[in-house]
Amino acid sequence: MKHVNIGAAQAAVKLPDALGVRTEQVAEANPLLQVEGLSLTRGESLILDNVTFTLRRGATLGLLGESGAGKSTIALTLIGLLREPEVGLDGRIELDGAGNIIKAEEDAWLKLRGRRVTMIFQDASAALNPCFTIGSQIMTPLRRVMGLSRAAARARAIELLESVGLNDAPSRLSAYPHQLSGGMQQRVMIAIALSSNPDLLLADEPTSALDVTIQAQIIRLILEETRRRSASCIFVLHDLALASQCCDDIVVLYGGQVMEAGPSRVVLAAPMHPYTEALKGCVLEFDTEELEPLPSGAPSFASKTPGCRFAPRCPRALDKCAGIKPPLVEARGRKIACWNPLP
Amino acid sequence: MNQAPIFRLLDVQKAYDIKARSSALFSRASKRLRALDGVRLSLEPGESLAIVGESGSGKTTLLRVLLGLTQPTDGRALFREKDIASLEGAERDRFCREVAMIYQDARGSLNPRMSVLELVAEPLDHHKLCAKSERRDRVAALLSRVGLAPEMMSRYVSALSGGQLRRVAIARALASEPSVLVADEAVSGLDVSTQAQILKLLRDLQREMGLSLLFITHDLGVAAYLCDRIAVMYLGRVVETGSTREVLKTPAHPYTRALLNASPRFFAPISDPLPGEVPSPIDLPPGCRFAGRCTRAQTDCHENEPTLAPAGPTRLFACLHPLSAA
Repeated sequence: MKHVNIGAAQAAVKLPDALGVRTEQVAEANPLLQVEGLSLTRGESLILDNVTFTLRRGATLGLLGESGAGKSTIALTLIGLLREPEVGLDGRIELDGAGNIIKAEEDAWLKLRGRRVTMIFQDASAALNPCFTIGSQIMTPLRRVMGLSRAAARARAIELLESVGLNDAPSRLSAYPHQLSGGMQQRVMIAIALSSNPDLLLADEPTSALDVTIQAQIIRLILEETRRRSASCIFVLHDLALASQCCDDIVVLYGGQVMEAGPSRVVLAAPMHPYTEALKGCVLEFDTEELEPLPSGAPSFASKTPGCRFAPRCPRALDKCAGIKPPLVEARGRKIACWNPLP
Repeated sequence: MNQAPIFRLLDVQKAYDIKARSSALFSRASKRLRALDGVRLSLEPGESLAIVGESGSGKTTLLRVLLGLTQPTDGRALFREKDIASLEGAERDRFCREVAMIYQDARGSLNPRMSVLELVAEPLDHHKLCAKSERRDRVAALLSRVGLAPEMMSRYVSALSGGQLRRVAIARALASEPSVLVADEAVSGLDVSTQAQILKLLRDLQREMGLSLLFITHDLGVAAYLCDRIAVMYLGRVVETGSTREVLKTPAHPYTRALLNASPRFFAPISDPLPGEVPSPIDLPPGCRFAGRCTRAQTDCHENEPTLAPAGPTRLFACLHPLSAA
């Protein structure tokens, strides 16, 4: 079991300087997580189609796209909550030190889930159990996963709650979730997710139910706490502007296919895929005069659809787009799957 | 067209008495929660106004006062210069027809047992706006106005996507031929692409039909796109108001600045977030309500409460130490 002295680590990393520093964009020989050709089927539907990406150690990665893009499905697969035989899985998920975990059994997942891989859910008020106090929900994993005694778990729980910015932590232990505001509930979720010092933290739209000022607090907190622990983080987001602020790398998905992937600064500064460009065009900035929204439409998940799933809505679609699926290829510092990319 | 303001709020207060949890046995003390505390606003014909603020700032209470769903404890809420609470008979009917509401939760606001045709036709029938024979055509016209095919008429709420639902809700609001649209977070919870479609639709409708628009939102980008004027609320008070462009370009109130900084922007570093959360509106301390979270607060901020003072032809703000740019 890993033991990290949080106090020493806090002193070592000077914050918030560390926030501005991006991790180096060098290909690692030994990344934390490698997803290769991940496909997920549910009956006749192909929900994820050959998804490939890499997560570097200590980096943050954003999964972006509209609802139905498969972002949350990827997150649930990475934490072993979507498994065979409920869904059909194919491809490789290499988690450092644990090998290919795509076909792992529940025994193996019990050693990973909640320990090395943890998750923050979108709706904290639904993820916390209303019948138990904050203290019991944060101490249970500490005692069961970390093997702490009751007293040690209590002390650690207070420490964790303080580190996520809950003041008056000892008395909060006896509070029930409904007595906390949405922002405070999300902080408790973060404390629980970080309690086992995970290597990989999955954050599924952690702030979409919160006010902007609280959103800034929560995103900063996740970044600070994961960096302090040298953990990697995958954000599931739909806000491209927010992704440009908090993710080192991004993967843009549509209908379960990777459209464009690469360093956020490269991809979002000058998107090459028409879908990324269209999404970027929907983001409102304070001086936006005209919006050019994409036409309505939803992707087809029928496994027999041969071509690019975005083709029916794509303003740059060619004849072959609907018939032949474009491969994910390297282009100008990123990977892109498109027959007719922007110049 | 009547040129008097459509809505006028004169120092509207709305306070709720709540039972205090007290340690003293048998104590019957109650406390006052001031949801709105002296709000002064007006909405002119054809104008679009955004009300912006965090949760707990009183946006929804303001809306309830405007729709006559709750009465202010003090001050006056006027619709075309008449007290909303005192409207009766024909005037009340006219108010109901002229003021159309688009609710935040479109799915919850539409009856799942009614088809789209019945939902959109209900205001037509209620206000007797067209003969039974024209009903279908009117609904088809309204649906096409919001970008839906007439085939949608036979569908039920459960068969519609989030974006389609919002469009049905807008068509239903337009059915009574209103002069003002009131929308409460009408685009929250949608994908950015759908949000962009609905925002464009709302702006086109507002401009082409000369509607007034009162849009409640927490997203400054949405406010900037849709509305000419903005009112920033904090704990039941308007802290800054003026033309959206001016206020967002050179905010005078530190709270407006903080909201701007917290909004995600491409490649901007994540700002130092505003500390803490909106405090409880029960038994507020004296002085400026924002002082506890304000980086510019000085001792006098904790003693004197700033009032909303003019700082230009249309610009008002309430701050003792405003940001200099204004």
